[in-house]
Amino acid sequence: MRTALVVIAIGIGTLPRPAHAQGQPAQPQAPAAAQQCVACHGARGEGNPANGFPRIAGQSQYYIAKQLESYAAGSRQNPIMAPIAKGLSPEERDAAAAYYAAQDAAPPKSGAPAPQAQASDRGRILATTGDNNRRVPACINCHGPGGIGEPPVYPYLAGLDAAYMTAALNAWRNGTRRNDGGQQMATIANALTPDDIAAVAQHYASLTPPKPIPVTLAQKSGPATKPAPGNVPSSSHAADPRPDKSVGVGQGAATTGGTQGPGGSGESKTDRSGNAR
Amino acid sequence: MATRRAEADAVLLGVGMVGAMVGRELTRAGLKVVGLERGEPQFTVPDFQGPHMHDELRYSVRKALMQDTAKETFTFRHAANETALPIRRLASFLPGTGLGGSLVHWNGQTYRFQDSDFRLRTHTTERYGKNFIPADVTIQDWGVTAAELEPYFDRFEYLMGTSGKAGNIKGRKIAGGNPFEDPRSREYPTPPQKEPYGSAMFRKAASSLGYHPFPQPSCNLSQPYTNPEGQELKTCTFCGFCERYGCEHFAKSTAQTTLLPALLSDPNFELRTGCQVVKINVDNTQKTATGVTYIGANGEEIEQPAKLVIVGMFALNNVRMLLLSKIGQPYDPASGSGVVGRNYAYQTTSSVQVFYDESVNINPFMRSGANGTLIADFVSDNFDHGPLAFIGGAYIGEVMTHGRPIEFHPTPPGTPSWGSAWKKAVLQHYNHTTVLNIHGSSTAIRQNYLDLDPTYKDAWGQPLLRMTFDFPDNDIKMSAYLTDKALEIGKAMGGQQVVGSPRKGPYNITQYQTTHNTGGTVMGTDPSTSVVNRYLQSWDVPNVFVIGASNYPQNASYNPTGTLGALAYWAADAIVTKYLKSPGPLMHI
Repeated sequence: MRTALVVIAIGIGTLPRPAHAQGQPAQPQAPAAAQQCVACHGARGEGNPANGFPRIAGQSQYYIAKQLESYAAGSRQNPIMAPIAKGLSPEERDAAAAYYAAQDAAPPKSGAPAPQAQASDRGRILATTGDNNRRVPACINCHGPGGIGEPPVYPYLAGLDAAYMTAALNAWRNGTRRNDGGQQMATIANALTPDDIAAVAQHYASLTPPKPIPVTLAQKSGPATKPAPGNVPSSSHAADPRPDKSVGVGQGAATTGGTQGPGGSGESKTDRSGNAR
Repeated sequence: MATRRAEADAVLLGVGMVGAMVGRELTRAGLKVVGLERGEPQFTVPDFQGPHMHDELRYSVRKALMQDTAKETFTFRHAANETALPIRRLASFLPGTGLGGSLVHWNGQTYRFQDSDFRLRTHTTERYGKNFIPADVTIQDWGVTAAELEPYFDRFEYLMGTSGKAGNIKGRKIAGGNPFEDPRSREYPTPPQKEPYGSAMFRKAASSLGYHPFPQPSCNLSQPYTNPEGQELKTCTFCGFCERYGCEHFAKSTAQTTLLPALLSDPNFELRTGCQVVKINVDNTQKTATGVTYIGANGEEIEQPAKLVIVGMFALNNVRMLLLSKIGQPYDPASGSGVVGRNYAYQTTSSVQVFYDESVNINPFMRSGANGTLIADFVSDNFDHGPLAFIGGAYIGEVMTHGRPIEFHPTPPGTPSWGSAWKKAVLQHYNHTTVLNIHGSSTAIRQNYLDLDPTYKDAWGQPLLRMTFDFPDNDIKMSAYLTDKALEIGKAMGGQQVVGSPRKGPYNITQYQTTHNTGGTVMGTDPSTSVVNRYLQSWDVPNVFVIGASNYPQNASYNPTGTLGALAYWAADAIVTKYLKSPGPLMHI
């Protein structure tokens, strides 16, 4: 394995010069930290879908670094990525992320089998319109029209291989990925059926990935904020004891007749307090 | 000749938040309910989805979710000796239309009025003496107390999943919440939203001046929440497109996200959209409503008989419907007699801008409609009004709702209003400016009222509602005092420049201020000064219930929706547990 990494790393000198995130003169080759990534994700981040390794070229530096941090911290669980991420310092993660954020790898060849028309329609509808009954908003609200992402926070989906997309959605669904502050992806993935996940994955696999974002934009768009004049106290409600997902039960005014269940009949699965009847 | 439909147990005029809440309670009690909505059906998917939902020109400037003024609008004048003219383009306030009503496009700011608000005349007289209230100020008590409404506030907040921090649970003060709130029975269902940067600076400054900052209670949720109706809401993403927009993320509490799926699947409920109700029909005794007449989507006239009529439209339209239906005596400002249209009030708002240098990034685009930090030290009667000689108050808060590119262009005084110097100033200040709101109460006075316009009619040939309003002297004084307080806080926030001016008359109908129009079908315990009793039941026609901010005898410091939600559940409870068992007046005088 280590030999393979070294061999591949030798080839990096022939790559085009990636722009450097700090705006300093471009470096001639991938930083040392990124060389660990090359074996699986490719010298330019094109990925190796046949062996289960996704494309990462042109995702934002912020996004890639955040994923590495999550792998290290365990909020995104993966047996291959966890030890690699733990072995990198925060600075090395940033450097590797900056390198891949700047890569303009060729789009994947359309090697995937053509999706069935029906699945494709369902995938396209979920991606662009959503599903009201399942409370699934359209993917494009955050991941951008055509799935090109809204960097730096929201990754692009266009051109990611279907197996990776399926695995990622299933990770949100089963809780092995929990690095999303608002739990949007967890609630959405839980509302999708396995067929829905396959359909939306195939839809995005059929699209063309975007070019890397310009370095000037990448530099300016980070979420960092200058410190306030003086010492701004942290939020008074930072340590709220309530669980991070809640279920409300009636306890105030009594409901005014019948039962609590949706549709006016039957038991509600969420209200078992008995207080409200 | 109108087509006559089968009689319903109850008919809803308007299927907004009130209609959905009361409809749900009545169908649950076994009633067959018909909901009549003048606008179109609309749902989170597909109607509120991106990218088109973030079309600022369409929704903020052209106001796509609002009442269509080409068909139906209001006329306005400042005083009874003027001739009112129609509002052809909505600006000062924005009544919504369509399924879900105005809550589709609300900001989500969710408060409980205080007990001192509900007992305003009694409380003011008790504390300051009977000569404190000027003769032409017609403020009055609501006929309910905060303690009576507490279970209904609780129920509404748990329906919505409101994100907030309690300040007083059963009399025990909780650090970090609003110390001035009346006792609540339990914590908010979800924690407060994240505090934005500008709000954190406000909190520090307000604390340093001895005030008591707390997070704004929000119906843009801080985390996933499943309400007692089994409806799941998602977390707000701080996209900054709340007010004037539908929420694409299922994160804003509305009829669509909290109730409609349950209501629409109920076989006892029938929704009809595109139905313009023209009047409530009463029998020849004038004491009993027999149903309503409406114009359907194809222009056909239809009579919908019903045993119970629930008027749950936008506040102004509630008033108009009673006037058109000749239910209750119209108010006459000359004699002071009559009740329908009396005590119209609004909200007295002003703002303060704090301009920082370019080292402080406010990121105003990263907000929700209801996250921020505020103080209630000057709300209602939480401070001594004795030496001030005015009634009422305001909250002061850094509660910026958005930094949208067409609407948000903060520039300091002296900047040209157009051209290259203006553009340069916008670029310089956009990301380094924060805004404080002074959200003040509105006093009812004898001169401000609503009636039917003698000249202008809607697309169906019916008179428009005429508004006669200007800011009372009392409220101008209140705004001057509290805008000064906000300027002091702004200066303590450390900006380079702090500017703001209080609300001044005359009222400008062409400038957006707030959609908090109140009064006109006031609730109370005296039929000579109220249209509905304390259960929101018409004094004159007991099978008509009128529910809306039109019930407010005057408007308080806080945003009105939370109190309206509590009143809707309060009224629904009275209908189901009292009225249905023994139809007739629920209060006798």
